[in-house]
Amino acid sequence: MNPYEVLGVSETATNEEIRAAYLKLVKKYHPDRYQDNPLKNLADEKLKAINQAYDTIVKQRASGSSSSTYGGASGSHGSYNYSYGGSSNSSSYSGQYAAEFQRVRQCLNNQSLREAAAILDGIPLHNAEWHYLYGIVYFRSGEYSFAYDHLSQATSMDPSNVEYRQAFNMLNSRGSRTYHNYDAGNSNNVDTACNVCGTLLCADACCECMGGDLIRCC
Amino acid sequence: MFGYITPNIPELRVRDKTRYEAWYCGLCRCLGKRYGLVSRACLSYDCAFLAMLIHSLKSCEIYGRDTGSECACCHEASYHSIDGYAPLPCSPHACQFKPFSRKRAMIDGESPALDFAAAVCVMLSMYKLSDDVEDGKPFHSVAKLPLYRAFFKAKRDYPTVASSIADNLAKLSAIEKKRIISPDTAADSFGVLLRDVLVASPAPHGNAQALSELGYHLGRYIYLLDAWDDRQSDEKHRLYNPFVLSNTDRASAEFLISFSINSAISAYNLLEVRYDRELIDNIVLQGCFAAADRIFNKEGSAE
Repeated sequence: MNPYEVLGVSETATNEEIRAAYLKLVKKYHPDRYQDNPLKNLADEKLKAINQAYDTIVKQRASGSSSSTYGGASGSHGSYNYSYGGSSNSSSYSGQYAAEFQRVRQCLNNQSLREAAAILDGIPLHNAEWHYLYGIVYFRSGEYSFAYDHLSQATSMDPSNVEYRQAFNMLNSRGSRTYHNYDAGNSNNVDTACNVCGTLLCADACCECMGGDLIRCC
Repeated sequence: MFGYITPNIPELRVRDKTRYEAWYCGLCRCLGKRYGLVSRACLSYDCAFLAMLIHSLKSCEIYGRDTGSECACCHEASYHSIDGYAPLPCSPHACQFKPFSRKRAMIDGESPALDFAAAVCVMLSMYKLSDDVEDGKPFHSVAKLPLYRAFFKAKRDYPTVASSIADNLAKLSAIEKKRIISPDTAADSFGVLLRDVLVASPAPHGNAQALSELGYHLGRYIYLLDAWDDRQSDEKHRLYNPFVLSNTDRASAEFLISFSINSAISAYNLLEVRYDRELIDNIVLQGCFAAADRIFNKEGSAE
């Protein structure tokens, strides 16, 4: 397939344009965005195709003599390498019900949600780990409001745990308005009247430090 | 229950808006042609979206752009296609119901997607009316009478879709009878309904998985937003509403709805859209959030 088509740019696009389009697409299909999503494989394939297309274009332009007319900003390209740690379930348990929690994690890995929920129901100790695991069970079974409650409970009971926090932040960001705002470029820094006044006052203060005055009345 | 999947008009280009109206009018005409005059009352924005989405999906093959001719109304270039999914040009027609207004652009030609969307439109409206009757609005059964013929024809055309819609709505009414508190459980059954509809659609299946995920989350979104919108009237009439039962606050409801929209967008990004790309992008990426804002802000001003 035509690599330019994959990136959605025309064949006459400059190197910068291609790089910008490429970075935007990488953000769009980034594995972080499809974490714990059933469509993760599709997104990975898509990202692979995008990386390949970008590499092809970069190589073509580097070798082809005609490409030198496109301007010399041939800096350090080389496709974006994403590293995805995945969920490391290496946390070792100690204390009460350690074996049960370990079994729940195994069930979660095997996607047997019902079994995991059954084991959790049998544990009378409702600590942070219990809430976290129940949150994950609810999340996978599509009960997002319960998942939210349990994960927030887990993070508040054990704020230092990175795993709980990550899961909670992931859920939180997927429920926020700005989740897909990867191309909201200029909409964020709109100059309001307040900003203008603030800037003027700052400038005035600076001038006054140096002995001058920008705004007479203050 | 309908009308939540609409474009965000202020961000739409004029020609895309023309194109959107052309799809809407085209679906209306298709309804009239296939299911008779009365069925045109079932027309909804959601089904217009369904028609254009299914029609525009790319299958695995690559399609070349045809040279030269483009549509007179919206300048959509015309293509050759192998599977009968050519882009549909639109042309100005007079509306039957507004004989004195100017002619407007309508989709010309036939598409399996339009036929399918028309059938879904009729079936959903019919089930919605039955649902209203169960909710204690007995006069709505009168509205069902003229639709029976269209309904049976639609059912005959797409038996699998009809049975899956009926099954899922039966599940939904069971949930309503049990008065299950969780909004997710109720939304789930409507999500499954829309997922089954999209999977059974005549779309060229490049990636059925992404399509089914999109359907599921759009269904959830429609159900949740509708439940939030109706929550005051449902409370008054003591009808089932998960948000009323669970006493959900606005922030949690917004979280659930945004979650569904974001998941739908993630799935949509994996689909290849061939035609009317900017219009469909606008509807999915911005229109859903805009509709949610509309509902939530209406709320704020009322209080």
